[in-house]
Amino acid sequence: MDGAIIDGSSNISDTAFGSHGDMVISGKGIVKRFGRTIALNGLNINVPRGSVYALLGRNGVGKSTLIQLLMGMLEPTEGTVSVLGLDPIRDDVAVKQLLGYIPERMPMYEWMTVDELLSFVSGVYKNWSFIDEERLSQKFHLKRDQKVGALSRGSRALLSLVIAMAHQPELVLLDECTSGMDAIARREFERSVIDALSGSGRTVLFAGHQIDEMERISDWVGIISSGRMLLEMPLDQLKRTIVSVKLDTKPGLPAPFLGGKVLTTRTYGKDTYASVWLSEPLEEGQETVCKIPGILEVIPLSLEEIFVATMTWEDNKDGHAASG
Amino acid sequence: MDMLLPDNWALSSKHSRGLLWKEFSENKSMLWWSIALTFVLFFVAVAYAAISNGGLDAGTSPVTGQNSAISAPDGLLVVIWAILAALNSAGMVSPELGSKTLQFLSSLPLSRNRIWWSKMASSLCMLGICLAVSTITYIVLVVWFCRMGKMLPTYHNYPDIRQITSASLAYLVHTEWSNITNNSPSFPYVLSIFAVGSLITVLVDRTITALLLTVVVSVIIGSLLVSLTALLVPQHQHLISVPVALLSLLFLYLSHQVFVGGETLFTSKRYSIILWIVFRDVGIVILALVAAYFILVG
Repeated sequence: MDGAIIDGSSNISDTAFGSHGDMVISGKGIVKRFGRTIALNGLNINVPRGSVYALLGRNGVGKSTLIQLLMGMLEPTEGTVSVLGLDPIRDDVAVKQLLGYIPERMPMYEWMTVDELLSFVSGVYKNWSFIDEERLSQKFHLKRDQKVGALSRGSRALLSLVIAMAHQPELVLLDECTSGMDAIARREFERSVIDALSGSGRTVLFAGHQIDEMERISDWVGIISSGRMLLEMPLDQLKRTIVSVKLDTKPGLPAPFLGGKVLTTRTYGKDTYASVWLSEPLEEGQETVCKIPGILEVIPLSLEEIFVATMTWEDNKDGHAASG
Repeated sequence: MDMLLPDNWALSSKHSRGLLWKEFSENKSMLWWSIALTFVLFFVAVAYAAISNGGLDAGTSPVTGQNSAISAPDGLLVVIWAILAALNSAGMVSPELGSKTLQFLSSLPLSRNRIWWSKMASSLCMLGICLAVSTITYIVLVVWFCRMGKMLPTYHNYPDIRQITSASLAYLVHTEWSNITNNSPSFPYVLSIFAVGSLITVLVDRTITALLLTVVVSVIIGSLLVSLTALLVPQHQHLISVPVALLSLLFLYLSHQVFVGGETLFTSKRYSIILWIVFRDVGIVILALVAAYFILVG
C-alpha cells in the first residue's frame, strides 16, 4: 500500500512511508484556533518529495490557514509542522528561501514597476536566477516598465509565478491562485504553471476549487473536512478506491460491502448507482472487468465527482464528524 | 534582548538596502506633505499674526530683544513637528496593513525583526528629513514674508525678521535648549509621540485612523502625566521627562513585540501580546514598589 486513508488520528508517515525523510511537508495533529474559532482540528498531512499534491476542501475549511502555517506566517496552536525538514516558525527565513508561494490574491506594491518589484524581490533570495526571471517574464509577456497596479488579474498571477519560480524553490505552494480569473486566463495560467514546473522535479502543493484542472496536474490528493484530513493518497489509488458502481439490486438496498462505505446512491430509471469508498483499492484494470457479485459495472469517477461524493457523505453523517 | 537587535544586519546588508529603498520610495510623498503642511500652517499663522496686530505671542524676540510678530515661532514649529511625528509613525505599518502588502512582504525570506527595524529606521530618517525640510520651509517662508512684509501693515519690523531668519536654526537650537532647561523640552516629546504612533500603527490598518489615534492617545497620556506631575511633585515638574521616556520605550518595545510575534498582524494575538507585556511589567513595577517599601520603610 503506497498511500493511506487518514481518519484524523492515525499517523500516515508511520503506516505508509516509514520515515519523514521522503516527506517535504509533514504535519501531525495540527490545531489552529483563532479565538473560539477552530480552523484546523488535529490535521495530519504528508506531502512526498516530487509530488504535485492537490489539497481539496470546501470554502473556509482551513486550506489557506494550513498553507499559512506551512509558510510560517501563522503559528500552530497545537501539533508539529515540518517543511523541508525545517520548523517554519523557528526557521521561517530559511524555509521561505526554499519555497515559492502564490496565494489567491497577492497584494503587491502597486506603485512599483514590474522591473522594480523583481529587482526588490531578487535581492532577498539567495538563489535568484536572473536568467529564469528574464525567460519567464518574456514568456508571460510581462512589460517590465509597467506599474504593477496597472496589471490585469491574470498578469499579476503570472508575475507572482515568476517571483515564485525564479529563486529555484524546492517546494511551490499555490493557494487558490486561479480564483477570480476568467476561464481563458485560468487556462493560460494553468498552462504556464505546468510549463514552469514540468521536469523540474519540484514538489507542488496546490489548493483550489478548479478540481478538473487540478486533476490534470496532480498525482497526490488530500481532502480536508472539518479541520481534519479526511483522506490523503495518490490520485491513481484514490480513483481505484472511490468508485461508482452500477448495482444489481433494487434502489435503496445497497449496504456497506467490500468492507467499504457507500457514500452516495442515485437511481436512474431501473439502474442504481452508488459511489463507494472501498477499504482496499481495486487492482489496476479491475475497475473495468469487475466480477464482484451484485456489481454490474464499475465506473471510475473524476476527482471532482470523488470530492462531491465524499463531501456529501460527510454532510450526511451525524454531527458532521470528520473521521473517515 | 537578541530579538530587539537586527539579525545579521551587517551580513545581509543587501536585504536591508532593498527594504530601506522600498520604505523610502513608498514614503517619499511624506516629504511633499511635510513641505505643504509647514507652508500652509506657517502661512496661515504668520498672516494671522500680521493682520491681528498682536503677533503670534507678541513676545520679545530672544535674538533681537524686540517685540515681533514671529518672535516665538518655535511653538508652531513644535506643533508641526508633532504632527509630522504622528504622520511618520502612523504611516510606518498601517498602510501596508490596509493594502495587505505586508502579507506579500511576510511571504519573502525576511524576518519580521528585520522588517520592523527597517521600517523603524526609515521612519526615523524620514522624520529627521521632514523636520529638516519643515525648518528650511520655515526659513524660506519667513524670507518670503520679509519681502512681502511691506504689504502687511503690522510687518514693520523688517530688520528684526531678517535677523531671526538668518539666525533661525541657531534660534531654534537656542530655544530648544532653553526649553530643556525650563523643563519643557519639545523634541523629546516629539519622539514620544512617534513612539505612541509606532504602537498604534501595528494595530490599526487605516492610516488616517492611526494618525488620529496617535494624536488623541498622545494628548491623553500627556495630559495625565502633566496633571499627575503637578499633583504629586509640584516642585519638581521636570521629573515628567522620566515617565515620558519610560513610556516611550515601552511603546516602542510593544510595537516591536506585536510586529514580531503578532502572526499575520490580522489576528487577535497582537492584543494578547500587549496585555501580557503590560500586565507583566505592571506586575514587576508593583512588586518592585512593594519590595522597596518593605526595605526602606518596613
